This record gives sequence, structure tokens and C-alpha cells, in this order.
Amino acid sequence: MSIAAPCTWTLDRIEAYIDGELDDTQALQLDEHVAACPTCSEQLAQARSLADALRSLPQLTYPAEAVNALQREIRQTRRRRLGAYTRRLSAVAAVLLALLGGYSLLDKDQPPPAVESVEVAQARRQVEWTLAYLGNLGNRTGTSIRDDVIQPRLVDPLRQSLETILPAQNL
Amino acid sequence: MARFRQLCREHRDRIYTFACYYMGNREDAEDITQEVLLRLWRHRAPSDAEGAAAWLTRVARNACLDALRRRHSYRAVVSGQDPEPVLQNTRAGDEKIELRLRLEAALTRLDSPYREIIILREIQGLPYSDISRSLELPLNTVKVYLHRGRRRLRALLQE
Repeated sequence: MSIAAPCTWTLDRIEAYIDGELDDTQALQLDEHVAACPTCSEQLAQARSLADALRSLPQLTYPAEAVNALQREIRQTRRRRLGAYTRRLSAVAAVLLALLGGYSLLDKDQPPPAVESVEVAQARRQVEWTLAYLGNLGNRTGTSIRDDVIQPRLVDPLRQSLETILPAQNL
Repeated sequence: MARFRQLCREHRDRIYTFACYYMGNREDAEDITQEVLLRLWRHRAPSDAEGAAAWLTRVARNACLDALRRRHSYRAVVSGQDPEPVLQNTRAGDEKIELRLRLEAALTRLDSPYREIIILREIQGLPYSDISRSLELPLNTVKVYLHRGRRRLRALLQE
């Protein structure tokens, strides 16, 4: 193989040579050129020195205080999420209780159905399960429902529906 | 949560080391590592070990790039103090330490993706295939960028 510009050819391949990525023929040609060329020899020495220096840089340890700070941040985020879920639960439970109360006023000829505390507890439990499921979905996807969305998207539409069904009632 | 803790233990030092050399200081690196680990907690990393490692590297690299953008816009307004360097407890006259400090400074002047490829390959010793997967670059491109990056780094050191 004839090389028109041996220095250019060599300098283009020095890094691959250091990494052992040249085939035997090319590696031999580079060896021969470097042995006869002080400039390329110097470049090769510098490239080797740099590669060695990079590989000797230390691996670092994430400080213990930073690990503690991370754990604190996770605990605080959890508490914030729990607070948000509790507020959502309260809002939905209030709507359900309003529904149960409003239903009893629909038919004035009939005595209002008794709302047992066990039914309220059951409704509350169902809401809790639903919210827990939504919360789990949120955790998996990294999304969450903002508090300011609950009011216009859930509470207000339900209120409007109830007002349509029960125009005479002051909900 | 158990998987998060395990991934956290396995990768936090690696992410921190990457961020230190990428940003050139420990303070930013701590913030970035926390940001990456919080994202790991909030989102689901790929279930296989290699996929999770590549995902973490990618998130770390993106967090570093975002931090650099923020830093540039911040420093345009406020002249900040010199941040704490990566390498500490240096003794004057120690040639190796001086070279390391010069290297650290030169690395922060290297453009992306050369900077991350040099850190991942030369400092952290990752296989080409892992770097290729993490940075979503073809394997041969990673090799070409590595060689080009080292040449540029040599030029920066000679300035």
C-alpha cells in the first residue's frame, strides 16, 4: 500500500492505533512511520499520555449527605401526594354524600330512603379504592391530577347535573 | 420501591462521577444526581438491567445539558463564584494532579457529544455497545466521535 502523505495518514489513525482497532498491516505501517518521523512519534506519545491520564481519573462516590437529602426529598414528596389524595377523597366523598341526600328528595310522596351509615362507609371505601387505583396509575406513568382540575372537571359538572335533576333543591 | 433502591445503589456513584466530569464541579453534580434519581423514583425505568442503565445514562446526560443551558443563561446575568472543582486535596507541584486539573478544565470546554463519550468510555470504561445504546448513536459513530474527541482534547490541552 502506497501512502501519499504518510504523516496525515498516520495522524488520522493514531487514536484507532492506541485503541488496538487497526488491522495488522495498518498497525505495522504506522509503527514504521512513527519510528522514522519525530513529529508523529511525539503526537503518538501525547495521545497515549492523554488516554492514560483519562483512564486514571478517579471514580467518585455520591456523598452520604446527598443520599440523606434524596431520602428527605422522597419522604416530603410522598407526604405532599398523600395530602393531595386526601383532599381529592374529601371532595368526591362530599359529592357522593350530596347525591345520596338529593336522591331522597326526588319523590316527595315516598318517605325518603334511609341512608344507612354502612352505605356511606361503603361508598367512601369505593371512592378510596378508585383514588388509590388512580394514584397507582399516576405513579406508574409519572402523571398526577392537579387539585385545581378536580373542581372544574368533576365537582362542578356533578353539581350542574344535580341542579338539572333537582331544580327545586338548593344544593 | 425495592427495585428503585437497588438501581439507586448500583448507579448513583456512576451517575455522580459522570455529572462531576461533565459539569466540572461537585455542587452541580450533586443536584443533577438527585434530579436523575428522583426521576428514577417517579418514572418506570426499563425492566432489564442494561436498559435501565442506558436509560439512567441518557437521563443524566440530558440533565447535564439542561443544567448547562440554565447556567449559561444565569451567568449572563450574574457573575458567579468559581464552583468547587471535581478533584480536591491537590498538592502544588504534583505533575499528575496538575495534569488531571488541566484535563478536568479541558473536558468542560469540549462540545457534546464528544464530552459524554470520552467520560463514558475513557473515564468510566463503559463498553462501546453500552454507550451506543445510552446515547442512541450507531456503534461506529461512537468510535469516530471518541477518536475525534480525544484529538480535540489534546488540542485544548496544548492551548
